[in-house]
Amino acid sequence: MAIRAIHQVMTGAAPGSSTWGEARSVQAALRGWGLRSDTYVGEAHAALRRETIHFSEYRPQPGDVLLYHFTAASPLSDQVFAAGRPIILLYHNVTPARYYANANPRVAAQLARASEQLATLRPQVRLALAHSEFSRRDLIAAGYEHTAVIPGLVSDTLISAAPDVHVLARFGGEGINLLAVGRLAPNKRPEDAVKALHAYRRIEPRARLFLAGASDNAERYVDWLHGCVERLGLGDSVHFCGHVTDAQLAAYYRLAHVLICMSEHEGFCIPLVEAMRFGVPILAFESSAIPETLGGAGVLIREKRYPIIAEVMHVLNTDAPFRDRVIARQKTRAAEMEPSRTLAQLRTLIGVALEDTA
Amino acid sequence: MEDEVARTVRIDDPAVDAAAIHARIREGLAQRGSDLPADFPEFERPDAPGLASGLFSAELAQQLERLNASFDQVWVELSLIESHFPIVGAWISRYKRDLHRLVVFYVNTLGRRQQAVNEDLVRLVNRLIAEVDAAGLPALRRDLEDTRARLAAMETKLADRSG
Repeated sequence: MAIRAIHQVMTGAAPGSSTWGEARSVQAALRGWGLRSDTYVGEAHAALRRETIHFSEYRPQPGDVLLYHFTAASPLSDQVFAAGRPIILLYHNVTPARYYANANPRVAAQLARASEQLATLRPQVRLALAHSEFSRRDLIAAGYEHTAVIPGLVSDTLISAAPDVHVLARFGGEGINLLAVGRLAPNKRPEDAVKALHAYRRIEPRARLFLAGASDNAERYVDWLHGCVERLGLGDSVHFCGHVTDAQLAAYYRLAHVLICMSEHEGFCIPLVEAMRFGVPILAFESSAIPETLGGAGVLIREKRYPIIAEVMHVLNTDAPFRDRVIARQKTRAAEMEPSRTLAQLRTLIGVALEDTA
Repeated sequence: MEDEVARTVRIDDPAVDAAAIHARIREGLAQRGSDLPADFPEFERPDAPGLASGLFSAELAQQLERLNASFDQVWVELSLIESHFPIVGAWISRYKRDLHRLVVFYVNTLGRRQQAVNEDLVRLVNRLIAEVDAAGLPALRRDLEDTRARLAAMETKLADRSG
């Protein structure tokens, strides 16, 4: 039996999410390799309905393989398993439930079930991929034997996008811009980026922070975050950008002086690689897979001591040789994770894993 | 502070003189101070207060814990039975799914507001009970001191009699 198609399956698809960006890159590659490849979803944002198919419409065919993006526990996992086709699992890691305990107990309950579901899929999985050794440890704990690590893929459309002129016109000019990219989710701790801004404004009063990312099932938390910004007197200096298009995000990267990442749980953290590609120095909290993704580049913070974080940002913005060196090291690191290299690695891994299927 | 800066800021690039960067950070801290801006807000879940005075029963403490654990369990999940009618089944399923999603969206929107109201109520109850409990403690301590004093007096009297 020859492999004719590798279809991707995702629990949810939302424009601007790193998982969706990655799925698009993988789909283009799969089609380029002469395979049929559609993207099936459990749920899709209205803007992506044309590019995706609901999984209930999937009819298993001989020669099909499913590439399943595992991001959370979902009834979809059972359906993917029941389809009876060989599975390649791409494990994006799962946020620990405790982060959502107060923000959204429904999501917390889903997250708590994830590790159990991860183990359930195992008999049909030919290859389990993770984006970091940090994530691979979860796969091994769930009993997977054939595992591998490949870097996350940065969307080509973002890198090649022309920066949005409206964003550039609105925020260009004087002042120091800090940028935090990612969902407004409790594990990503955007409030800590806000606290860092608060401390940094003692040194650079014109500093401001862009929070580029939409809320994701954490409305209560986001309401609290808005209140936190007001309480700290930063209403005019923190900009909630919401969901951003590739062009808008490219503009924010163009404007940014520092990418700040205070996240406490990341399976890879695509924005770090985006910042490397855009030449923005990174200041990140040392947690989860972040040091691994940085691979010696950027500046890491081991404890959230805001006066020290503020001083690091000041040095990054005033010491040109240091800043240039940080950016240069980041570019080298980004080259190691070049999408064409990653996709070639993916092709080899899939080929080996499915050898006996073909 | 010296150790604190080196411990906090990690620079792995061997081409960077990390010690020199740490020194610059220390200079900045010496110049501008390293006090934390006061009163940073935290996103925290309400928590049942520990009751120490003994004014409240164990049953009330348990009920309070249950209340704190359950005040936000207000939501619904999408639950759908797919249609398997030939030809039109997929169309019916899609229509049902969109309709159910819409209902779930509005119910959960209302649920979130209810959660917020519940949270305010739970925080209020926690605070009231904690304040009553704290106010009750000095009175209990006074009672204890008083009882101890009376006991000591009685023991002295007994000792005098037996002596």
